[in-house]
Amino acid sequence: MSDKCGSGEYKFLRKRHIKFLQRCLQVIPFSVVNFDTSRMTVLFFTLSGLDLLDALDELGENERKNIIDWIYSLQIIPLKSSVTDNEGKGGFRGGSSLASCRSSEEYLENIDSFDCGHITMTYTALASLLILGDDLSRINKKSILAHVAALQCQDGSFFSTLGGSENDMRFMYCAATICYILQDFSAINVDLATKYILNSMSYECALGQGIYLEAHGGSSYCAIATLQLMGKLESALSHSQRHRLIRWLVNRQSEGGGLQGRPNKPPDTCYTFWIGASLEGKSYPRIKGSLTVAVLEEPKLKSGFYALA
Amino acid sequence: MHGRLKIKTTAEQAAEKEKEREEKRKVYLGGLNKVFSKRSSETYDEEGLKITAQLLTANPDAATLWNFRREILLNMKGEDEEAWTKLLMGELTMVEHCLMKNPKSYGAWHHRCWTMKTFPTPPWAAELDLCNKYLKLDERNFHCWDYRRFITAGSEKRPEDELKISKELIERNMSNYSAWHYRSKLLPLVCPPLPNTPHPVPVDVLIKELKTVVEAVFTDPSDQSPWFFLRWLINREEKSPRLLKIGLIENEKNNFVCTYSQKVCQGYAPTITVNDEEQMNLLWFSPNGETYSNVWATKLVLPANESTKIEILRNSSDRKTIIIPAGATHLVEWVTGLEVGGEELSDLTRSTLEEVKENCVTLDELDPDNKWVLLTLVDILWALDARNYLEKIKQYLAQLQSLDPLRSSYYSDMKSKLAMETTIAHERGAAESGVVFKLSESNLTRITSSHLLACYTMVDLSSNRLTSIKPLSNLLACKELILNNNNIYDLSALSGLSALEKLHLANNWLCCQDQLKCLQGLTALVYLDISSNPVCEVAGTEAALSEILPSVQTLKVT
Repeated sequence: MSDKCGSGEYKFLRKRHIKFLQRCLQVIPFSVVNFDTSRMTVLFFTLSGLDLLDALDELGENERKNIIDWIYSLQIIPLKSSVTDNEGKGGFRGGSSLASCRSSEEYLENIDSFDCGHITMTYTALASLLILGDDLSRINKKSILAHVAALQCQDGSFFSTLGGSENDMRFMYCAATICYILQDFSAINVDLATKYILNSMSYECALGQGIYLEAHGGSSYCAIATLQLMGKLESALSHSQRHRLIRWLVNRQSEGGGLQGRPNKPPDTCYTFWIGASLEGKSYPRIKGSLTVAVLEEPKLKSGFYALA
Repeated sequence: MHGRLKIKTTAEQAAEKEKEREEKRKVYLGGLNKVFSKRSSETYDEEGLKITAQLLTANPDAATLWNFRREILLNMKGEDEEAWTKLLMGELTMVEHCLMKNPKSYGAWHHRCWTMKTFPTPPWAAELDLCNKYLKLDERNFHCWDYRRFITAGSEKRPEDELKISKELIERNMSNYSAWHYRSKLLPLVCPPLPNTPHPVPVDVLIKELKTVVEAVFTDPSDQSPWFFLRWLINREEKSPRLLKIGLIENEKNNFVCTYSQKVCQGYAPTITVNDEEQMNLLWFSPNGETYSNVWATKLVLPANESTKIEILRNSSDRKTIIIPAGATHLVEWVTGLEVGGEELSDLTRSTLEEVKENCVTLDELDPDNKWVLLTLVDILWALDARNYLEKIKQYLAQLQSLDPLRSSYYSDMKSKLAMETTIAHERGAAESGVVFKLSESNLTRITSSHLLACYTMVDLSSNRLTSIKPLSNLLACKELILNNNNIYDLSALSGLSALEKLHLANNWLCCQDQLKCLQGLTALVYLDISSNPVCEVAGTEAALSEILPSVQTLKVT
């Protein structure tokens, strides 16, 4: 990919984006302190961005190793003194601020009972390791699958963490990707998960975060991707539901070419992924052309990578 | 995060901001450390509440901090119900501080739900006011809508009352997308449809709702919400899959095909008797080995040179008999109609659709070039009678392509779907059906309903604009496939077509020899034409093909 590509007035500033992403690997500004407990997700977006821009090689061997070690340091390994893996406390943390991974042994013993993985951090940790070429040999697979299994609710959806949280389509997607990466769906009740997804379908045949909730681009992606990963996409949706969903998705593209998350809302670059990927997932890539223009025209992009702006 | 503009500051402003941030950083990190030590020492006190409140206002998405806060509160619960209630009321205030800063915080709304559930006597009424307040600020805040639903359920409000409220909200502002959505969830609760009926609500409710929707579209025809709602109402959904077609075909591996109206799993395959003898241990296969498929095929051993009676049984009341004349190798029969649920439109449904159609036609005159009107007319005419309205539908789709260029490809695909469906329906009535299917020079961009082509021996889709031919894996009976003059580059769908003898792929986008490798399994192939493809310019293509397809007698590679 060249440094500047595109026709007419639109130029893709590849080097600037790479520089921004590399900076994010070192430090994130205090203005986004609300990401402190989810640094793993920031890492994932940064690495994915560098990978998409073919710039991962610019990371030195050392730096690559350091990042991999940092990720593994956030894996929760049940201590010898604690109970079995089946308690579901495994998985990955989002960052070190609320974690027991710093400090003394004594400190560790006290923290252990409150320390548990967060499903999104587990997913982004695994994905980041794969992007960096790690072979996942240091993963405690049994513990992670127990963590995912422990988070499934009676209605089929997933919580994010054992301590408690809301449950919705986002964590469903995380659960499915974890199982897919570890090639083991035995930890989750796939039929119940599928039921939750179908119950979350709106009158437009798009998908909300949960039952009764409005259809949304992000949750539609999470649902479609989950069905795809679980091998249920073909059977779960009828012809008619498929067609109506596609119609809803293609109508998310507004005049300037950008994509919105819901009808009558302004477009946002993040939906380039959520809606675009949903259509790809359904083998329906019908929006490419004008999308490029819309994304490149976005004013706030001048200072860096879209998704993190 | 989303939608925030970056503003450049002067060096001075930047330095001041940095000092401010340094202070905040110290407080934040100090706070975290304190929280941790309290938790590990199981100290649950006011100070803990104070610090977590500060931290959560800065970072309302830290699930662990909310969890710790809940632990503190539960530990502070004493015998005194009044004191406990006061404490929880304080929580509601604290959450509101977080919401004022970030009205879309999952953590904050979740905590509010927890607080409400923990009250001995939850103050439901006041919460409804809170919902209304936040919805006024942003009527699309789905967290707030979800919370509203939680409140109405908790305060045991009847869905009928909420249905009335949704109507009021819609009448106040026809553009209230979230109100339409709310209504779509309440209607089937309050007025559930009869089982096995195709619409989401009973027909009498449907007619009443249509009146509201039509009013809405006349008020503001450019708003999407009522148009999607209208589509939802008039859409007919088949509840259970039906066996559409059965056929004896010339395919050595699997000579008997069942075609269903929906994708089904293998368990759906029927019991078969040949001359009244039940065929045991039949193995059923789907094209591509998929678990869910419209098409399932098996191998029946039939007596040679004898007329044979084959019976297909789903259950005692659901059986179909066909007689295969002696020596016949190809016989196809339709089991039921192609209409949704196998039923023609009822008079009431038909007249309802006609009325909506008339309204749309009027709207089209009042507000020409409105894509939603045209798209709805396409849907209605298609549902009423696609074959008779074919030209009109094509005209509307062409109009849509120029009016709504962003979705031009989508409308192109709709045209393809229309062409395939109407041609197949026409074929159904034809005398010699089930042998030759031709739809060439029709600008097809997409193949649909391919499961209905499973029993055709010759399929001609030449001179179209096809790129993907994935659905053609269903062509189990096909002996001759004509795909010249298209934009095809991926042939993997054809790899399982064991009956295929002649394959025409001239003038497509086949670029490299790798793309031809999947033809290797076509053992019956005797004729292959890949002339005028870029791969013909690549050295050694003819030799490579001869190697992977030794039984091909006629090979055209120029």
